[in-house]
Order: sequence, then C-alpha cells, then structure tokens
Amino acid sequence: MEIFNFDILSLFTLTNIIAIFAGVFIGLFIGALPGLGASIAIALLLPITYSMTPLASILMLLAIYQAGEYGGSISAVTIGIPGTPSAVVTTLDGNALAKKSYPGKALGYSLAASTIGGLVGGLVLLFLTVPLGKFALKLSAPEYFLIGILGLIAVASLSSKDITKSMISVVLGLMAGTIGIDLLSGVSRFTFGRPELMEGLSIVVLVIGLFAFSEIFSMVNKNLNTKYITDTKGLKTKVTLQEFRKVLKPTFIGSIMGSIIGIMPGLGAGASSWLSYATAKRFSKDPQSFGKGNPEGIAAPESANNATVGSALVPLLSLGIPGSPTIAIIMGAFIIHGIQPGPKVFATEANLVYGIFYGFLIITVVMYLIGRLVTPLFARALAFPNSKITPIVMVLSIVGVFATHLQYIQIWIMLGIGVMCYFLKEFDFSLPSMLLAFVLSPIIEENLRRALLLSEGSYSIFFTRAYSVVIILLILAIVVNMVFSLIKAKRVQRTSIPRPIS
Amino acid sequence: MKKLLLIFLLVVALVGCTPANGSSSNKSKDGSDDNFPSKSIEVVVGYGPGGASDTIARTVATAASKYLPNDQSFVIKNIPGGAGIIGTSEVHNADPNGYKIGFSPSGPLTILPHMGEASYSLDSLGAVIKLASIPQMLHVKKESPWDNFEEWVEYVQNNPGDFTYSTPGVGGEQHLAMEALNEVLGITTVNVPYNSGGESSVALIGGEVDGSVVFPGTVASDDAKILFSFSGSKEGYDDVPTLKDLGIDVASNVYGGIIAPKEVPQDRIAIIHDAFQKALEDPEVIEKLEGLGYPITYGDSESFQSELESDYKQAGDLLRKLGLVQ
Repeated sequence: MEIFNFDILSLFTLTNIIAIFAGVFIGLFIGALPGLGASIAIALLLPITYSMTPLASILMLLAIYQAGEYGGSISAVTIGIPGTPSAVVTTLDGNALAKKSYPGKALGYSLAASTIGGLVGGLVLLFLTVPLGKFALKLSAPEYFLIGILGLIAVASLSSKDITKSMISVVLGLMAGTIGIDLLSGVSRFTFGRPELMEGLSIVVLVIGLFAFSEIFSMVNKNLNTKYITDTKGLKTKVTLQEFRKVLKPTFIGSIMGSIIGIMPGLGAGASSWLSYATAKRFSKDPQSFGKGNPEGIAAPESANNATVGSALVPLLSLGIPGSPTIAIIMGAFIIHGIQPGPKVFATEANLVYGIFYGFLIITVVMYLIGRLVTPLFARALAFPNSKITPIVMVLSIVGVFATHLQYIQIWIMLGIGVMCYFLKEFDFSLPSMLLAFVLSPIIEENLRRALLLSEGSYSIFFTRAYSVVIILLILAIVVNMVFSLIKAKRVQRTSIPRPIS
Repeated sequence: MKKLLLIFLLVVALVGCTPANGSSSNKSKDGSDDNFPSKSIEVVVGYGPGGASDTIARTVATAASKYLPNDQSFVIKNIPGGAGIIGTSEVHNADPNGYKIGFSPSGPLTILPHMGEASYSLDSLGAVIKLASIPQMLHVKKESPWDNFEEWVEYVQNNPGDFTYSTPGVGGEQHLAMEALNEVLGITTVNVPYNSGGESSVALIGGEVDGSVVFPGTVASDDAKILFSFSGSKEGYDDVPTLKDLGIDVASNVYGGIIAPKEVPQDRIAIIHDAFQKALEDPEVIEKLEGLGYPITYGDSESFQSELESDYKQAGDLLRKLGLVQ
C-alpha cells in the first residue's frame, strides 16, 4: 500500500510547518471577520504561493480553507453574523447560546466539532479518495436535482414557526438564484444589461447583505449601548469531556454527512451544514430547543462544514474537478506549478498527493491548538457595546465585498439587499432559508433541465436509476413523517383546547 | 433619536455614495514620457487566479518582464466576472498609454460582443500579440464504439439527434465549433451544457453524455480518447487529426493573446510585443506551457487582429443561425 510507505517525517520541513501555521492563523482570522471568508483569503494569497514549493503552497491554502471554516463560526456565535456562508446555520444556536452568556462554551463546542469534522474529512481523503471518486461519477443530473429537492425539504422541516413566511423566503431565494446567464439557453436573465450580473448574484454579496447589514440595521434600531456580556467568566473556551459526550451524536452525523456531500461537486459546505443540522434535529432527543441555544445545533453544522473541506478534495484528486468553489481556486495552485490534478497525479506526483493527505490531518490538529489559544480573544467581541461593533462590521463588510469583486456595483447590490432584508427580518421572515434556497436554486434548475435534455423530455429518468429511486424514497419518507407529526401536533392542540359546555 | 439614526443609515445606504463609481479617471502624465516603460505595466486577466487564462498570462508575463526595458515588469491583475467581459471592458476603458493592457482568450473578443452585454466592440481594441492556443477536441469514452472520425460520422449520420456531447456552456467556443461541423456535415448532435470544462469532462467519464468538446488538459483521465481536433492546425498534437486533415473545411480556433486600448502609440505596442515575443522563446515558458497542453502559437499584431476579425464574423454568423442572437 502506497499510503503507508509515505515518509511522514518528510512533511516536517521548516517551510511546510511555517506554511501550515501561517495558513491556519490567516484562515482563523479572516474567517472570523464578518464578510471576509476563506475563499477571499485564498484568492488573495494564491499569487503569493506561486514562488513556494507545490506542497507548501497547497498546504497553506488548505490550512486557510480549513481554519476559515471554523473561523466563520466565531463571528456567527459572538455577534450573530456568519463569517462564511457555511456558518449561517451556526448563528441559530451558536448566537442564542452566546446571548445566554456562554459565548466561550458555544465556541468551544464549535472548535471541538470542527476539529473532529476536519479529522473525519481528512481520513476520508486518506483512505477513500479513489473509491469515492468512482462513486461520485455514478451520480448524475437526476440525482443532483433530487438532492437539491431534499435540501429544500430540509429547510421546510426546520422552519416550523410560520410555514407561509418561510415558504416566501424560500421562493425569494430560489428567484434570486435565477439571476444571470441561463446555462442551458445562454440567455441573460434579470441582468439589466449589466455584465457584472451575468454570473449571477454573488454568494459573498448576498451573505453580507442578508446577515451583516440587516443585523447592523437592527443593532442600530435597538439600544446601541447594549453589551451582550457583562460577566467575563462566560468567555472561557472550555468544554469538558462530559459536555462534549452529549454532542457526540450530532458531531458524528455532521462529520459523515459533510464528508458525503463534499465529494459531490457543486453542493458545497453550505448545503452540508444545513442538511446535517436538519438531520441532527430529527434524531435529537430534544428537538424543541434547537434554535434556542442547543449545543447539538452548533456541533452538527460545524463538524459538517469542516468535514466538507477534506472530502471536497476527493473529486479534485480522483477526477480532476474541484468539489467546491474554494477548491477550484486551490486547483490553480496545482496548475500554476505545472501539475494537472486528476487520477494521474497518484502515479506522477505520489509524494505530493500523500503529503497533502497527511498534511491535511496535521492542519486540523494545528487548527485545534491555535483555535484554543486565539478564540477567547475573539469571544471578547461580545463584551464591546454595539456602538463599537457596528461601525467595525460595516467597514469590514464593505471592504470584503469590494476585495472579492473589485466592482463598486457589488457594494450597491449588497446595500440594497441589506435594506430589503432588514425589513424581511423585522417581519420575521427566515433569512437563512432564503440563503439556502439561493444556493440550491441553480443546482435544482440546471440539473432538472439537463436531466430532461438527456432523457429527451421523459420524466422516467428519475425513476429508472437506482440512486434516484433511493433518494426519492428518502424524500417520501421525510415528507410522510412531516405530515404525520403535523397532524399529531394539530390533534394535541385540538384536544388541549377546553370545549365549551353547551 | 435611535429611530432617526436608523433612518439616516438606511438612506445613506441607498443613496449615500453615488459618485463612487463615477468619473474617477486618474489621467496620469505618462502620455508624454518617451522613456517607456517608466513604471510597471498592468496586465488585466478577466478571470480568477488559477484558470487557463491566468496560467498562460502569468507564465508568459513573468518571463516577458525580463525583456522589458528600464528594469520594469508586467504585473497580473485578475478582474473576474461577466464571463471575461468585465476584464476586457477594463482594458477598453483604460488610458491609452500602454500601462494597462490585458490578456484575453478569443471568446470575449469574438463571441461575447455579439451577445449585447459588452460595452466594447472588437474594433475598439487593439491586438498586440497572439501567445498560445487552447485547442478544443472531441473526446469520447475509451470503450465507446468509435475509434476514429469516420466511424463516428457514420453513427451520427444514421442516428440524428442521438449523440449528446458536453460543453462548458451554450454559445461558447466549444458549442460553436461543433455547430459549425454539424452545418457542414448536415448532422444533428445535442449540446449538453455544464458550468466548466472540468464538469463537462466528468459528465463524459461518468457516462452521462456520449462525447465532450473540451480542451484535453481538463480531461485528467485515462478513460477518454480523442477523435479529432477542431483546430485549424496540429499545434503540437501530432497524433490527433484536425478536421482539415480529414478533408473537411471547418476550423474553430481558440487562442489567447495580449490586447490593449486602440489608441496606444505604435512604438509602445512594439515594446510590449517584443518583450512577449522573446518570452515565447524562453525555454522555461515553452516547457511549462507545453507540459500543460497549451501550444505556443505566436502571431504578430496584424495577423492576430485579422484572425480575431474573421473569427468574429464566423461566430456572428453561427450565433444568428442558432438563434442565439438576432
């Protein structure tokens, strides 16, 4: 076995170590800033890595990615603004727990779950890259469409508060996802003749407008002098083993789901964190407290988005295609060094590939260590009054949007979305559902139409493929389950209302 | 008070910084110095770092810096968006002093101006030097029944509309190349578009489609074989027949090169051209580009310009026939 012949000690060169530590630090820091995510950090640093050795440069970029996924949860927990798109779900329970004066605990759960998720993703990468790559090939348009539908159902099952309003959010998100060139006809939709909109609304712009700006507006509307925390005891980033044992199940669910979804190109960490949150809620003993600061609601999405990092490398190395937009940027690091990622690299660049595999595990451990050291500093953000937080977040958000696109119009779009979403938020519409619908919209639409193009318009393509049928059965099971529990809830309600005596 | 502040912020957010993207033209005084270049030259790439355009531009520009007078250098600036239109517009709108030029593949110059979103036209840009080709080839799966062009043609002629092939998009170079062939042979094939060359090649390997028109470098797998190339010449792929070799008078070339605003003085264009031309002879550049599968195809300013113009016409005719533009 090649895997075990690799000399792990050869990884510990000074450049590699510096690359990993620098990457983890940058990733944590930039991920934690609202508005700036791992993909911006990687895109900005990629040209710098061109002069490094291939292994060191790729390890550094992966370290940024991995630590950025954890870092994204820091601002999600502390100020309720997700640092990365995949940390959106973490805001629900993370911020709720932090507001109960336990930001340190919330971050501790996030760090531990992220580390375990990262390690599971790394092990998947190490042992299963080749077989999983072959499996990913078996899934095609009909399955991707159905997985997208599954994701929408997961949203619906989460927002039980006001079904009509969350449906409206979902539809808004789906509509936002149709902006840009229609892949299957080449026609521009809702671009108003602006080339900047041809590639669709940017996810970075949407996340910042949706969460950062709407949050800034509501902070301003409430008392600007509020401090969430007055007691610094809650800042300790410590989770005892006993506490962690309670979230072992959701962490396990998140790690597995994150790894599986990561190998499917295009679905990404956003979808994986949502699906695992929904699944963890379903299997939880205490689903009622989800959204109100349940640590399980932190562990599931955070382990999932870090597991996705490792497994998103699987299709890159086994098939030559990137599993996520961020990995697509990292692919550039391979190419600029003259290496075309794909199944051939196992033969031609075995040392590099196994170096990445083992290096990835080291990155995850380093992330845990640096995370333990640095996180308490970030948790202090909550000890600041809002009058200090709002301007900082505002400036960072604008800088982040501009740094990503170098286009002024994107700042305008973000501000427009921010104003609109402030009102949506005030009227209790679900912004996270809107974002997930936006992410899923192109996956659902493109793959439905592509599947029908391949089947010459026959819907039988969804029923004649084994994997499709499995997913359809899964969808049916979830829907039936949902309907039953709705009926049950209604019945309980009805019986609990005392009947008037006639 | 806080309500006022909120309203103030909302208003500022909507109307506050209007002139931000207005006329911030920083006309420098470079127009008058004859010691060109006296500072570094920006090379705009309309795509993100790491893609085909970025790789070619970066590789050649790094080497070309060595041959630039006055110890100056080329600096790559990635301005992605709008399928390459935004970067090309940036070059189009730049001061014509030679300090901001661009690298562009042929698509944003020959195809996209037909589509309506571009603010520039091919006439308003000047070609400087053609650098490399990105040849597009028809790939099929290794175990597919077709071993060469003739067997494939026989199949598609007998089964019109059955052969599906993946491309990175409708109206892209790959789609148009196949449509041009369909037209000449009187055959019907079905384009199934994907988001990228990588996704297209996976669709082929996974068996979702029968074939794929992509750049061979994106098919990082031994499970595919190449039937023919759509290029007009061999370009280093000696084993792959071109359509011309097969006696069919169709060619669709995809290539990239350096462009500049139209009014840049000729002597400056010449300095930039010469630096890049020398870079193309640099052994390091040759080794790297050919290793990645991009054949070096030098063309001077005039031949590059006239090639772009004739491809612009060909693309326009095809797009109109396909009903993609009026």
